[in-house]
Amino acid sequence: MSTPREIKILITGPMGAGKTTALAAVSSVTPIKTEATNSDLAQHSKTHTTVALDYGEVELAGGERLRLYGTPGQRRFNVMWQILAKGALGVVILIDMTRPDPIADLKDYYADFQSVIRESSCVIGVGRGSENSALSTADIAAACESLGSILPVFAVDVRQRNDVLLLLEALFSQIEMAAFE
Amino acid sequence: MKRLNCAAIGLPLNEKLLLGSLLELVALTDGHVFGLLDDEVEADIVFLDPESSGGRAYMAKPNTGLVSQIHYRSEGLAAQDSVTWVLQSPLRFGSLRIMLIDVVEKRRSVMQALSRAQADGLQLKNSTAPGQQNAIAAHRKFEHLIGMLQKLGPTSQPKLLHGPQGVQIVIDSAKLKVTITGREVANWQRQIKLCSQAMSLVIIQAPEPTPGAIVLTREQFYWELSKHIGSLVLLPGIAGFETFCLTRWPDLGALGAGPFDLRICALLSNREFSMGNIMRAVPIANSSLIGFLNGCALLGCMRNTPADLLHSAERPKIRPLPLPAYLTPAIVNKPAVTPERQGFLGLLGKLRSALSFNPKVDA
Repeated sequence: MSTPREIKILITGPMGAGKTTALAAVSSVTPIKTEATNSDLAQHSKTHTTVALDYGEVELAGGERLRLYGTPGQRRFNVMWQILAKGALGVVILIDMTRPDPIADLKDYYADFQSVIRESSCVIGVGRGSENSALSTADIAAACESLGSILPVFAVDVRQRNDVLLLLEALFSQIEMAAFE
Repeated sequence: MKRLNCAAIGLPLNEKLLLGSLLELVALTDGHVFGLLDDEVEADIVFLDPESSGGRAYMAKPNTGLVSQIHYRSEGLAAQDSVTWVLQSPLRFGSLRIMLIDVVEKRRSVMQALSRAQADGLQLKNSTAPGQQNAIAAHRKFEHLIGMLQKLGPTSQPKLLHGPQGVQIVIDSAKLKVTITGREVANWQRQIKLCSQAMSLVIIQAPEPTPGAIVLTREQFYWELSKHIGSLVLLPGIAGFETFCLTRWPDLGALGAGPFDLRICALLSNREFSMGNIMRAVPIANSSLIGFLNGCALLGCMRNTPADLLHSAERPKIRPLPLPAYLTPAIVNKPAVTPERQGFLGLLGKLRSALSFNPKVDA
């Protein structure tokens, strides 16, 4: 298989985890958002939420583009996730530790993106500032292990560009190092 | 019957008299007897109070390892390193005898090593270069510091202070049952400098909180300590292993990722590699890699295979990670650079160039 024509990374996770913010932190163009009034206040209290997808991109040398897709947080919009995931370089799963069951969230998104995780790379970003949560990043890492994967789990502040770049660099490192046996 | 001479330095007179009486009563089964001398010049074993002026002066002298030091303190203390014994007050015959058995055993090992070296026509003191000896001594202190820290309660938060003269690591904890005197701090500083590119000053039991200090979690502190100090030799827990494997990634978001940390983590994630192969895959300096491995070991994310197990039938089968379809497997020693792989490496280069991730650079 040759180098994929579309160079893309998916950013996913539950509502309010910071997907749109993370995408905006690294996109070199103004992200395209598809936000609507949040009708699911039981999940999160924010007024607006992504309903289709967010899109951003980073221009590369030679005219190529890294495309960044942010999925909607509500899983009822997951019909197009498999289409988006096909051929992706990797997936970033953002976990909100203030939600009732972050590990259940992780398992849901892991199952949804299992094919891209197995074939390429994945990184878990845990919202920094949730130190009071009963869970730690080590607990999330242990949950990944129970799913059969040793994945990077990093505490990040997705408002900080370098923190989001850390997540992307973790994806690139996995791709690069997978070639060594 | 072999007599071992003992001396007491800095002990109160009543304790010295009691020690002399107890030593006369101790006779080990292999024929050792002990006597207390007034002068330490011919002593085989020295009992000293490390807080007394005489004790400090004695410890400052070079020790060839032929004189065994037993620290005597009125407060409960842990042993300060592998060659020091701590005798706690009040003096008891049983504990003194058990300690002397250990001392005699250790002395026997040292004597045997010396005899072997002399038989080989070697001078023991020349077996390692002076700089290496100092570095090894500094590393032993690092190991000891780690041991002490691991005994601290979870509430104790080390602090890190970046100052104009380097990095200060301040452990401000009343629970730390070791007092390092001013002279010893200077000694630590000098020795640590010998084995670390970045100057690091370790202060234990700071008299008062240091303004401007960065409070670190225990994990962050271990990580910093490994990067700054523990980069000479692998910690004892992993020193005998030929290959290394991560059971989980350290949280580099909280710890701060160095230039090559992510790549090494990706390489060692559920796969075993020797240090040599890691360095072939990632252009990292030997000392930085040792610091990384020590840090991972301290954080409990390391699994490794002992050398003896590696060559036995019991070696666990490691399932390699499935490769992405677009990548061609390569041999570490001789990477196969296929057009596809070359294309991907070029793409990763472009991505890194465009995104400009700034890894943490150690001071």
